[in-house]
Amino acid sequence: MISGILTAILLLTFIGIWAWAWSRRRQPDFNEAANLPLEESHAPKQERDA
Amino acid sequence: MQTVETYNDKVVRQFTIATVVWGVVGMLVGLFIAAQLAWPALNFDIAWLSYGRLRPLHTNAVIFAFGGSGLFATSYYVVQRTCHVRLFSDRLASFTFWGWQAVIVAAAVSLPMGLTQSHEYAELIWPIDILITLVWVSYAVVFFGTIAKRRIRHIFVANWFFGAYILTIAVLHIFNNLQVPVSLTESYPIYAGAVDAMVQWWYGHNAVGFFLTAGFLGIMYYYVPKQAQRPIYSYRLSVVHFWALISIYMWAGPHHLHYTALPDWAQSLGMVFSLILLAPSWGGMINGMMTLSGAWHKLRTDPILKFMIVSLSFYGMSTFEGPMMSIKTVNALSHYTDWTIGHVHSGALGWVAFITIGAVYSMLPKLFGRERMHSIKAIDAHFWIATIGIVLYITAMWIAGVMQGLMWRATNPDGTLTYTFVESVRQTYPYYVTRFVGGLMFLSGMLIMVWNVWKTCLPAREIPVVRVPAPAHA
Repeated sequence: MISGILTAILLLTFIGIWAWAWSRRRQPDFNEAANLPLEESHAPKQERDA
Repeated sequence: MQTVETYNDKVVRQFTIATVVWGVVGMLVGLFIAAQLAWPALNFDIAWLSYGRLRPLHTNAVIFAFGGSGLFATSYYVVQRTCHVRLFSDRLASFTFWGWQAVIVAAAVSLPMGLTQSHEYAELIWPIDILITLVWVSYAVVFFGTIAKRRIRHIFVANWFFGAYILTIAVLHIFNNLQVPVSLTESYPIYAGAVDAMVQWWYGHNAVGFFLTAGFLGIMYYYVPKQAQRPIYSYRLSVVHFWALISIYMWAGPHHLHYTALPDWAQSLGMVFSLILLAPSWGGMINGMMTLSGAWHKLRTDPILKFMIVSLSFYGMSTFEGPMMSIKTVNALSHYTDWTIGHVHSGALGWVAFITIGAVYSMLPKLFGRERMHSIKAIDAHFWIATIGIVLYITAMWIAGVMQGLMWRATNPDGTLTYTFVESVRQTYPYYVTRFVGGLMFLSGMLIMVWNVWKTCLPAREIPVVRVPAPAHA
């Protein structure tokens, strides 16, 4: 009984995560995050150790 | 004077070089024991050169020294750059490097001496286990401390994978190494019988799932987009990928114990979860590969990208093979044969080593103030020799494994065994030689890499210091 309820809760949580990830509101944040690995091209300032 | 915040790349450089060095050492030991299986006289009747002592040295060296150093290097590199902040503590970070190297050296001394806890992938004796715990807790403090003081609000997906790997390995390591010491080098596990076996494979399989998979997926989610210069195919898929993978992996361990004293329902549970695992694994693989969609031509000119994409192919292949082998009836044939060894190496060489090698080639020149690696041609040569080596290795082990499984279960009409065990060993010799050749090719590739790394690092007089980008909206 308890294990059944627990399984159902976990399953619903997982579906919830899925819905959250696909929600339109997340889109701009995710786009920004997806570009994080690409940004370094304008960052590397090579200087001597101060 | 206001001091400018810079990234702590010193510890990344140390771990990156350690990755290459331990890669060569670990694979050399592997090659040597592969040769011993083909030509048994190579143990020279010296106890500390015997297969039983060197095999754990090989596995520990490639997994924890090579793979571990690679994970330390890349996680430190990625967490700083995706959080826009310097590592939490320079001292503690430095301790993780020297502490981890001390663990590796202690393993390299104790294992050939025959000092072992006799648990696969957890062979190291209790004093070394305590040192590992100290290093690992420091690692967690450095990593999560860096996350805590991040300047980017969103925690980048690679950091979720790295975080899960660090946290889970801490839990696994501690609970699988609960032992009662009776002397400095000997101890007894607190678990007994089937419980001990269950805990061991809960540990063992999650070491595969979180050390060899989640950690390296963290590498994939940062370095593949970086090298391809395109964002990941689907960021939201990566979020679902993460939660699906970590919630399912935890329960797959019992597939290592099919047809043993473990309760039958636990075996079936392990099998079902292993089968479900195919979904998140392939979701992640497709996500990584499709990142190149529209830019496949880059594969023609960039051998580093070739390493990464082929690593994902091997990841897809071994995560298909794994669930298949976890099916009880398939396992009845494959278990205890060299098929398992082939499966492990398609994952370890094809996936883990290739993505690590790709990441090292990608970040090493930047760490040492160079535009790119000394020789791109050498990277290409490394790629081809290593790929052919893996293919030779795994096909030899597939054939050997299926053959062994069939020979072992063949029976005569009167119920007696058709073959003796030693007959199957005799039949395996040609495949052991083929595997040795494959391993030799893979190691040769690593030696090309050493030369290339040497030529890239040596002329670097001035080690670059990279500034943390100024906050966008301060």
